[in-house]
Amino acid sequence: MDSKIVAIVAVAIVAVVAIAAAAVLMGNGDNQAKEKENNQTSTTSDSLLIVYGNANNDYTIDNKDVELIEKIIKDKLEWKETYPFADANYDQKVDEKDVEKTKQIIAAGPNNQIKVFHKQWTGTGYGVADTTYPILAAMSSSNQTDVISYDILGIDNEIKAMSYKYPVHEYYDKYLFGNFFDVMDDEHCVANSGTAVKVEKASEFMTKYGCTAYIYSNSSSILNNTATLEDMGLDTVKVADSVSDIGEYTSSLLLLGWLFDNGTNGTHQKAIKATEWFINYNNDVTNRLAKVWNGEVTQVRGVASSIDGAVNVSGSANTELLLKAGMDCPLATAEGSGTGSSSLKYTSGIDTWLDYIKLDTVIILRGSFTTTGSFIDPNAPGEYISWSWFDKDYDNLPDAFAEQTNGFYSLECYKKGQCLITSTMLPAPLKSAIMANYFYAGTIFEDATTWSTEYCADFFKTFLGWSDDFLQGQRYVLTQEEVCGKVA
Amino acid sequence: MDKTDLLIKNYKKSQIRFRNVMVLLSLLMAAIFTVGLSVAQYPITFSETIKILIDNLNNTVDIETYDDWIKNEIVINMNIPRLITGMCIGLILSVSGAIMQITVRNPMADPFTTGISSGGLLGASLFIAYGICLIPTLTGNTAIIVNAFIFSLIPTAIIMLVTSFKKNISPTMMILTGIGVMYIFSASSSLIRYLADPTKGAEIYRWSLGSLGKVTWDNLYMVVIAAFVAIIAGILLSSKMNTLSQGDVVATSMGLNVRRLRLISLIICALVTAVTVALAGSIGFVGLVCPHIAHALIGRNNKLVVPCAAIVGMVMLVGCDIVSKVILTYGLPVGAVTALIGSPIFIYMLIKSKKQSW
Amino acid sequence: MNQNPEHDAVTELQKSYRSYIMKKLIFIGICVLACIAAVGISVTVGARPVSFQDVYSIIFRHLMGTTYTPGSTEWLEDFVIWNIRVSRSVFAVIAGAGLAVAGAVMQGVMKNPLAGPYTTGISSGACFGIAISITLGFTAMNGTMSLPTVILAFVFSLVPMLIMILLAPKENVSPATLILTGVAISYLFNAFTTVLMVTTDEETLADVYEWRLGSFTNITWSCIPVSFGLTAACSIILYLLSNKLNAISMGEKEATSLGININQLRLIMLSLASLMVASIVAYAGILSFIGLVAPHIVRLIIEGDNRFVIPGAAAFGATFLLLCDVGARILSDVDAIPVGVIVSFVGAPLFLYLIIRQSKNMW
Repeated sequence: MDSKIVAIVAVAIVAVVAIAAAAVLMGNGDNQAKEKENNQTSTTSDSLLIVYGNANNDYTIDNKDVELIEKIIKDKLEWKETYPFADANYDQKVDEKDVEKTKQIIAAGPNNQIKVFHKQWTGTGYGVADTTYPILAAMSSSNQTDVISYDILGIDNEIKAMSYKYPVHEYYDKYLFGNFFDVMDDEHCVANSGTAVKVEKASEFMTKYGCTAYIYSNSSSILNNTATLEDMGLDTVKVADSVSDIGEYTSSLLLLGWLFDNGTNGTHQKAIKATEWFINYNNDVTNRLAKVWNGEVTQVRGVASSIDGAVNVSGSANTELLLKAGMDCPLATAEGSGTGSSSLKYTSGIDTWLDYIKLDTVIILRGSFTTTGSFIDPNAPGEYISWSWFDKDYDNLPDAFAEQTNGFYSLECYKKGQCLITSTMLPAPLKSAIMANYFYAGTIFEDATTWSTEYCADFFKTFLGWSDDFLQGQRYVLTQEEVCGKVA
Repeated sequence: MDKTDLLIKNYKKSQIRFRNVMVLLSLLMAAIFTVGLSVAQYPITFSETIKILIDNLNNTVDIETYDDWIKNEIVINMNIPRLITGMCIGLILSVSGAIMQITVRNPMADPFTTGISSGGLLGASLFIAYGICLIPTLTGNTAIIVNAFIFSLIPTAIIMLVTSFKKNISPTMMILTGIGVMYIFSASSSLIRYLADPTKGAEIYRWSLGSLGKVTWDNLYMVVIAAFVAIIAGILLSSKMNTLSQGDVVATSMGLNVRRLRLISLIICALVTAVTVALAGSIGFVGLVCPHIAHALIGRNNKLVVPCAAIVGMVMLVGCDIVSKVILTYGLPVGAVTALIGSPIFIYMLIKSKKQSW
Repeated sequence: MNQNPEHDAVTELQKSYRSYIMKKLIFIGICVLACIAAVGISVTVGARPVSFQDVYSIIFRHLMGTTYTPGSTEWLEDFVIWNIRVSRSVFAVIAGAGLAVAGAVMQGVMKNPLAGPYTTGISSGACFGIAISITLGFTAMNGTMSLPTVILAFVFSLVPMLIMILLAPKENVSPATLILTGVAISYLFNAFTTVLMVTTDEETLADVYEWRLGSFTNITWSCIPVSFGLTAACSIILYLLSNKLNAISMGEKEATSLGININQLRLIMLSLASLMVASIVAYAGILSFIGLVAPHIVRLIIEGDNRFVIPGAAAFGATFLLLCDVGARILSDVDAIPVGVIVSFVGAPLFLYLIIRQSKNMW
């Protein structure tokens, strides 16, 4: 009997090792497949209202859609490829019922809500979800990228509760998120970590405030109990975040703006305005970066670091932004470890493998808990009070810069003065603009910061209503050259 | 007369065997050390390594390009401290393991049996997540190290406290108390890690993985001193260990103060292991299997086992560390590699132990 | 007339035996009642404020088949109470009972008072199986655990089990050896799980970490069928085998002389116990110490007869876990503390106390 058991144990161990090895290898394979999807950034998709009923693929649902659907029925047109949203009730057919449904959608309002079907981002692709329209009250994620979108759309009144990742909401930037301070406290908290909205709390808010939906995006954590929430009657709406391709992002803005529009708050109009603004910007950048894509200008090599002690690798939003800004990111295909697969520690004491990689620049994104990077005294515009990063105060810029770039000192590019810091709380298209401006200063842009600063200022003025005075001395990026002087 | 001759012959045989084994292991260690000097993610050839070493010894270092600089950095400031640390920690862990196994009379004991690693983790978590340090004026890495060190000694202190209340505490009781305390501490650090911010939680996780890379030239003296203490204490205690392994009653009748010996061994092992944990995190399986490998090589005479286990430990840990640096693109924590290599040995040990009387 | 003394003696014996049995049955009865009471408390605790009487009237009406208009307040309350709280309480009963029975059986088979699903590393093995299943894509951690996951968990929990069998009691294996081996095995599987998790993305990693601590957050009615089925079936079989377990505890020779094949019995009982543990770990993660502490406390009161210890431990374990869960929910409004952490905090000191207290008899 003894030898039998020994034999069984031996077989078991071999089986364990074999399966584990297989799993590791398969895990690696999956990651590679995933990032191949992510790296197709050269084509952008269209911006449109992705609600079923929007037959003509524009930004709204109106009588033109009704006419188009009737034409499709009458002329028996092929609609699946060209007018997929003509199928308003999502029954895979275009017929009278779709006309009826579209008319109902047009007639819907705060007093008669109906369910609409719309495209929904899922973890692996797109699906379709149905949501009550218009949304009068909702809960949302508190991810900073998402909250900026809500700011743009002006839906701060409709958000009644949030999930939050950090328990200390007073560190949230009051300039960026001021409108949402009321719902970022304990009483209005519906989750504590973002991966599972707590069902009982959600049901309490559903009764108390009449919330009918929970909004979140790709940047927020995956919800793992959507089935339960849907069963309970809470619509989960997942949108694309600002890091995605501009077509997808603006389509998301349009979707949210339209869903929340109750006739008086004008969110749909704001969404249309934002869409046009972003598309303009995107065309501008794409035109300028054409020289990089067709090889006239050499690509700059760099990495981003948004966590102390680690650099971003494949799967991180920042790496996406670098690629979009026309840069060559040698770590874009590297896999992470330890802190999760989107970042990789670059030093463990003296273990600096980052030194081996030839880099032209390093971008450091900091400021999870603080403002956009500078304090301006409204009473003394043009003068800095102090710099704050990560809830620490510094008396002068060089100190601030030195401490936040700790760990990169040994890099060759740092020694040559090719390093910059920007705030991680800015919306993704702005970050990308800042990066592109800096990388291609002198070749495509006149200098390293002017264009991107104007661009950021335009954004904050248009969408957050900051005054010119306030915008006057705002800094969105610190370059090493500015702060520490020209390095040999 | 025959029996005496036989005894003398066996004794001499075991001495010769010991000598041979030690020589072989030392050669192996030297070989691994040399190999380890040039192993890194960056390609460095062996001749370049030799050149760098010679230059540094003669102070004729000449750095012109980034390439030169990085290679110099790797060999001098990364690899050498890491190798030395690996050797010291391997020695500490296996000597402590050998002594612990005799002291608590259990072949499954290892240096972390007294709950040291969980104490260290708790100390580190407290500082990383909440900034609480027992010596309030310290910051940064030093604080983590000091906190981890002090906290890792708490479980041992508890065991000693319990011991002082009961007159004839058995070694098994010591183990079990240690394990009980370990469970409590690890529950606490789990809670802290769960409730902390994600970035801090990730940092705690990184700390807990265990890595030899955290020791720099500045810290190196701590590990080296601890290693010296460990080996000297180990050799001094080893002859008494022989007596102890005969059984408590027999040992006492031979004039050994069993209780005091246990306490002293425990304290010394705890102190040196705490240094290890504070500087490098917890690296398992080394202290567990190396003494057994030593047994297999040269028998059960503790005076020989302790030095032999020390070298086996050095070889194992440095070897695993070299592997962990280059495996899987960006490296695995060394604890995982020692687990992978140590577990077959561990299981083999289990199978064999059925036949022995423990 | 002269048969009376013998007759009296026999009736005396019968009476004292009966009262001996009575005491045990009463204790088990109390435990069961406590369990029911705990369930009663558990359904009234939660983030959504629903008053005590309302909770029961909702449950009663649900059982009567009342339905409400979807979206209305009553419907939401019914949904929350029934689908979240009741299912969670039921699962806590299943998990507590299953783990306690597994622990009691392990202690009997290994003749080691420190054996249990957690201390022998079997939970860690099951956890590794789940991690593999996640990596291979069988499940996405969204509550819909598929059968392959449970099977993988079971397969991997067999490795520690087999190692434990290797340590099967010879006369001179100390109880500490088993636990030290369990610690080493846990470390081993944790290291493997870490390596595996390195290749997954950050969100799954956070998820796995929370679940590894032992959490009831994602329990719904869909989790109940598999876990209930396996736990009930295995517990019943183990209860039927409890007589043989009693025989083993008398000693190897005695048991063999009664015609019991010890090795085979050990294998069967440990496999069943591992299966139960695997099915519970698959849904709720690692819940430590229940399998260790519950049987001990029960034994303190009704001594070692396994025919009573097994049901008693089941009832006690269920109550214990329920109360820990209630505690977790009370301590945090948003359900932030995983129940596994509370169980560790309560169980570890109990474990320490048990060691110190029992030091006289056991070792």
